[in-house]
Formats: sequence, structure tokens, C-alpha cells
Amino acid sequence: MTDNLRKLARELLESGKASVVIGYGDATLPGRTTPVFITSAAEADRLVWNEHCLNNLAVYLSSRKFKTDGKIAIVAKPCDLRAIINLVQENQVKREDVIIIGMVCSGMKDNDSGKPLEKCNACMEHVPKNCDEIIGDPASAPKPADPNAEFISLEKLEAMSPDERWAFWSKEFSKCIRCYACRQVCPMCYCTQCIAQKTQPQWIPSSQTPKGNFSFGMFRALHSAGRCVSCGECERVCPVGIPLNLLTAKMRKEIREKYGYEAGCDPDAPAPMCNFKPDDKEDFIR
Amino acid sequence: MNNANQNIYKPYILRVVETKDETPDVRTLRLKFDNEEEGRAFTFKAGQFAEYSVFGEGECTFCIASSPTRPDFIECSFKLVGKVTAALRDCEVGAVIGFRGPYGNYFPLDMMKGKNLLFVGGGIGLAPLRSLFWNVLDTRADFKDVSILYGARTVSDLVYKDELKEWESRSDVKAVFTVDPGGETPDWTGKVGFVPAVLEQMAPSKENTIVITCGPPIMIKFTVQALEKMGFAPENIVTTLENRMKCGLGKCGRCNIGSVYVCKDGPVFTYDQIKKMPDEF
Amino acid sequence: MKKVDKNKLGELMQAVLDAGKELIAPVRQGDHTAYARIKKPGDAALDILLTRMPLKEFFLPKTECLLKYTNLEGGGVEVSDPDPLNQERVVFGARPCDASSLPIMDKVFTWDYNDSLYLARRDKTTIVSIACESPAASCRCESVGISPSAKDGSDVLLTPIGDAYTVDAVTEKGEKLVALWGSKLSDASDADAAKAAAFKPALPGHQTDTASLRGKLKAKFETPAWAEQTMKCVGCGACAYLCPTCHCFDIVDEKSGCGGERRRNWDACAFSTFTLHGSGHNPRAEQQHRYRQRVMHKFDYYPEKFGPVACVGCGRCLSACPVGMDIFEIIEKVTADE
Repeated sequence: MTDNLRKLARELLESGKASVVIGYGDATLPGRTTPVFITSAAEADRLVWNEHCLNNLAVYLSSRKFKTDGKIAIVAKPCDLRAIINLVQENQVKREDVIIIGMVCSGMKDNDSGKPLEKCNACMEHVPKNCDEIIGDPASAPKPADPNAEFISLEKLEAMSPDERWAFWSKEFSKCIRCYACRQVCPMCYCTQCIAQKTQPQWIPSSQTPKGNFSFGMFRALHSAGRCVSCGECERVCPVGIPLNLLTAKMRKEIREKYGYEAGCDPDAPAPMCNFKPDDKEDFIR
Repeated sequence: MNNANQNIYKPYILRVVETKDETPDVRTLRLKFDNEEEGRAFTFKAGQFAEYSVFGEGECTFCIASSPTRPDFIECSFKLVGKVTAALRDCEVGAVIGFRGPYGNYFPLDMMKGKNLLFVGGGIGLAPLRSLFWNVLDTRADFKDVSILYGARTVSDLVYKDELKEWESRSDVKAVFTVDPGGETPDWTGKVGFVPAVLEQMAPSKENTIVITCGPPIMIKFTVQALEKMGFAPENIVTTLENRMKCGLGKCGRCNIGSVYVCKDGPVFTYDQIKKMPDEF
Repeated sequence: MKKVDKNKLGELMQAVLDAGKELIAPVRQGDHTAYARIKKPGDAALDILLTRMPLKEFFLPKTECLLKYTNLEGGGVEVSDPDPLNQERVVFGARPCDASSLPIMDKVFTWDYNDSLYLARRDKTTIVSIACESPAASCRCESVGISPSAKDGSDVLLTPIGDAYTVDAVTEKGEKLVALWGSKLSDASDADAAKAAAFKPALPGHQTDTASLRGKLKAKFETPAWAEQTMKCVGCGACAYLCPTCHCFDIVDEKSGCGGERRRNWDACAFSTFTLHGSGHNPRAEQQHRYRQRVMHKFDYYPEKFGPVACVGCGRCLSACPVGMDIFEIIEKVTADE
């Protein structure tokens, strides 16, 4: 697949169809990859595809916009691809400005343990949809997991009493150092000024106290409702190991149960938290 | 090291004794030490700054805008830009203010003695110059010609309006005031034009002259260009930098420009020194 | 020089607790690792090569009270110092890189003004480091002139010699602790000392000659390589917060009831708000400028002012970076001849 990817990248860059290919290259630490920005065909061989292509590169389309004159070609796993579709739906990027290179994905492995990622065990989409190019053989893709597999980890949490849950999250968020890595890697966190930095009024205390950390975590979880595409980047990058996916998974579960909606799966489906109609039966919106 | 076991973050307690609106968004507070003994022991030099705070809202950095020659009070002038300045603006007479300082270096007054002084200020950048200006006027005999060119965007944006009138009327000061084109009112008697352009019209002599300038970055940039064109040496152009600061003590790492801590090595620098810094201010 | 059997370290830790001192050691917290206060030696996880969190949080906590204030009836305010630190503390099982970060921070917190809050913690703490037997691929200490058995910043250094460690009291504080341990230690032979002196595990990762490259940084301040090399940076604070020497902080007030606290919180030059002026002007407008500041501060500005580089090569920023930035690779790339 790496060879096919490089070949495609060369074609896109040589033909001028794309001015940059955002993909994965080898990192300096063994067995890891890192985002690379390929702007000439001669550099296309820096691209790699393997079981350590963890980053969701869609973040470079939204808040950390890559500036270029031509089109951006972007390498996307099926899960990351959902983020791009969601960004298009939220008018953060124009679909026609992006060439999506969808990768048939049989799952990624943790950098340290080498074990398959939890999200990959629960993956329902190994074959990319809504993309412009496909690399890999769809026939070779693993079978989709049970739709509820991604919520198995929630069972323990849901079985807790409110007090137990409070204690659980208090302990987890006491570790938070407010590095904002979770927010910075999230393709959906593209606000130019995050509510965590607002001071007039100050909604969230900036101190790394349990109170401030907790309110930041809660705000982020709520803002992810109906928008989180379950790429799991927030939890992966958290330097102190807070199980953030439990929060976003809970939001996804609620949205699925109430609206039957999965963010970023269908470009034409209205997003539950981002759409309204003037004739809504509730009057709060008018 | 000037402290043993003291908490360097603990402020003096000052009280607001007078407030004055300079412009629609600039206010001056006159402050006095709550503890008179602390007030008598407190000294500072023109150009130094301090951390002013409203308890519960936070600290903010401004220069001391009053002159060391008038030690009965401390004044600060600030523009309403954020949470702390909004809280300071709400402080009425009698309110309690936290005050840490004085910090940083100061204008080289000794070096200025016996020389002509030219002050060039813009907007709220007059505040640090004002401290030195009154200091100079209060010890006027030590200096030769004293001139000031001060400008703001509009007439209403000129700060210390009463004092500008006083300076204009003094025979031992040459005062020129200007507003940006379009910022004048029908009864405006001063100049209309940007500070650097008016400066070129004034054509001050570089002989035995030190220029002290402060204002928005863009004004300083073009003022310095104009001065260099007129032959002023970089070491005779003195300015004061306003970087974002938190501690004022050379610890928090926020105000650094290269290896320079603006809070310790500055805020007062000659243009000669500034030219050697990375372009990050 | 003294020595101690490898399986007797628990006794040394217990002696610290028995003497009424606080004991801080590397621990596992689920998948996470950090230095933490422990109540029994069994909670220490000395097998961890390098905890995810650095030791600095015991000297410069992620958030701490600088002062407390109470609003008085009638309009005044009463300001008081935070509770003083009275407890003696022993860190057992620090790594030499983490220990080396302390003298680097000391210079910042003692130049011109003494930071009494930081210094009280330094004063009350004795550091026992253990030299690293099997450094990881991310270890970069030799890139900055430190080694897996460096003594700088440690009060006592334990160096592996087979089934035992030599116990080397580096400072007066260290001597006191060795005296406390007394007969739990035995005398090291000349052969033991020779073994310890010869201890030099190989670092598996690529080491960068920063001593010769850092002199070129100033001249490369404007090179377009900064933009290329930092394009992928997403602007989080993980590198700074996991860095043992990054010490930049913010000061904020937090109200509660009729009073509150002024607090010092970790802050990072990677954040766009770090240098943002009230006017909206930002001296470091783009992420490349902010990352450049990180490199320049550690390898050019700090050494210019204080001597050594402000990096101990622990490699945390490499292994924890969400997008795989490698500060040493970047130094090599930006200083390369065009």
C-alpha cells in the first residue's frame, strides 16, 4: 500500500492536481510515524503506511490550517475521514478543495505496547467511504465489529452510582495538567478562541486544580456531542492518561440513541446539534 | 539578592485616593500606601513599573506614571483591555489595590543632565514619559532645552489634557501636540499629522540631544526611522518596551526577547540595545 | 563509599519514613507514571525507566498558592502567605536527568530575586538518584552533556554494580541521609568503586552534538527551516509541561467566598495566548515563532545568561509529543547548511 500511496502522491503533485499531500512519514523514534507535508513529487517516497499511522491528519484542515494555493490531498483512515466530512458539513473546509485519499485500514497499534488500539477493535468501517481515491484492497479488510462494541468500555462507568462516577472522574481529572493536547489534536476543536481561555466572563478557572480541570473536561465533552467522530486522538495524546474516550463515547451513545446519528458518516445527514428549522416545535430556538 | 525569606509575590496594599478619566477608555488612578511607614520607605525612579492588582481578578503590569519628585502618591494610567483593567476601572476612591514594585531599570537621568531632551510620545505611551517629564521639570536647571512632541489618534484620545495645557504654557518647555489626520475637532489648535511626520517638520537638532520615546509599536518604528534619518545616534534614542509580563521578577519567562528579560534588563532600552535583540516585540 | 544490595532498597525507603520524612518515589497510576508521595516502600516502582511526569512538580507544582486574601468588612483586605512547607522530604529513585534539571531551575529562581516558595521546597528535599541501567530509544542525555550516571542535582547517587548499588553521597544533605541509613549500608570495596566508575550504559537512540550546533542557532534565527520543521506542531503544551526544566508560569486570582488565592500555574510558550498583548498584538504571531522560542530559550538564551543549556535530554518531549516533534532533529535541521 505504501508503494501505491507514493505513486498516487507523485501523480497528484506532478499533474498539479494537488499542491501538497498530507500523510505519514517515519518518525525519529523507532516504529513511530509523524505527519509529513509533501509538496514535490521527489519527496513522495517519504510517505509511509503501516500499523503506526495513528494521527488524525484532519486537524491540519481545520484549526491548524495548512496554507496552500492549490488543493490539499490528505491521507485518511476511515475513522479520520469522518472528521473531514464533518468539517465540510460545518463549513470549515470546502469539499472541492480537498482530495481525500482513503486508506483501507485493518487497524492501528499502540506505540508503546504494540497492541491493537481499543478503537480499532470496535471499528465498524475498515473501508473508506466518501473519498476521492482508495488505496488498498477492500476485500482484504477485516469484518466490521458489532455497532455496540465501541460502548463496551462504558458499561463499567454506567454501572456506577453518581457518587462513584464523581469520584472516578475527580481522580482522573486531578491528573490533568491543562496542556490542551486533547483540544489541539481534535479536528473538531477549531474555535479561534476556546472557552477555556475566555476571561470576560471566565467560565473555566485556568488553574490546574480539580475544579478547573473538571470543568474544562466537561465543556469539551459537551462540545463534542454529535460532532465527535471517535478518532480517539484526545485520549491517545493525553500525556497523563485520562480516559477521555469514555466521555466522548458517552456523548456518541446518547446521540446515536436519541437521533440515530453518527457524525461524519453521511455528508447529507443533518447534524443534530448544528441544524435547526424555523418551524421547530420547541420555541427556545426562535 | 534583595530578599531572604520574603514572599516576593506579596503586594503592598494601596488605596485609591483619586480617579480621573483621561479618554473614553483610559483612566488614571492616584494611589496611596495603606501603611504610611511603607509609603515613606518606598522609592522608585522614573521608568520603573509595577504589578497592580485587584484581589480576585488578578495582576496587571503598568509603568508608574507619576514622578519620583512627588512622592506623596503613585499614579498609574491604563487602557481598558481585559479582565484586570476592567476591574481596576471599577475601583472607586477608597478601593484597595495590590501593588508590587518598583521593578525594572529606569531612564538614565544622570546621563541626561546637561543635555537637550526631546520627548516623543504617542497615545497612552505618554504615561512612562510623563513620570520622567515631571521629574525633569521639577529639576529643570539640570537640563538644557526640553521639548515634547505628543500625539494621539484623535483629540479625545490625548491623555493628561490639563497637563498638556500647562506644558504648552511654560516658557521653559517647547511643546507640540498633534492628532492623526481625521482625528481633529473644529477647535483643535495643535498639529494634524502622524507623530513621525510632525517630528520631521520640527527638525530637531541632534546636537547634545537625547530622545525619549514611547508609544504604539508602529509609531516607534517610524519615529526611530525619522530620527536616524536626522542623524540621531541609536545610543541617544531611549525607549521603554511594553511586553506582556506576569511576575516582574525575571522568573515567569513571559517578557523575554532573546536572552533579555524586559522586566529585569528593561523596560528602558536604548535603540542601540534594541537593534541587537531578535525581532520579537 | 558505601553500597547496598539491590533487594534492600525497601529498607532504605522505610528508614526515611521511620525518620518522619515524606517519601517521594516513581509510581504507577494505572497506565500513567509519575513521582508521588508514598506511604510504604512497596508502592515505589523503581523499575520504571522514566516516569511520564518529571520531578519538577515537587518544586514548581502545576498550580500553587502564592498568597491568600480575605476581603474585610468595610472595604479592606487581609493578605497572608501560603502555608509554609515544614516537612523534610526525600525523593527516592529519581533519574539523573531529572535531578540535573534542578540546578538549572535554581538559577532562574535565585537570580536577583530569591523565590522563597521554590527555595523552601529545594531546601527541604534530599534527592536520591539511581543511575539508568537500560536507557530507552528516546533518551538523549548525552546530547546535552549529561550521562545516565550524572551526579549534578543529586544528593545521593546509587550506581548499579551487579546485585548491588554503590551509594555515593554527593552533597552534605546526602551525607546526612547516608548517616541516617547507617548500618543498612555496607562498605564498598575498591573493586566496587571501580565498577561504579566504569558504569557507562550505551544509549540506543541517536545523540545530537548540541554543544557544537547551538552556537549556530542565533545566526539561523530567520531561516525558513523553522517553518518547515514546525509545520506539524499543533500548539499544545505537552512538551513544556513534561519538560523537567521548563519553568514558565502564569499568575491568576481565584475567588472563593469572600476571599480567594493568587495562584501560580504552569504556562507554556507554545500557547498563542502566552505573549498576546491586550492590544491584540502578538510578538510571536505564528506557531513557528513559538516553537523557535522553545528551542532558542533552551539552547541559546538560557545558556547565554546562565551557562548550561536548559535541557537535560530526558526525551519526554519526544515520546509524548502528539505529532512526533523531535527537538534534537529540529536543531540539526535548522542549523544545517543550506
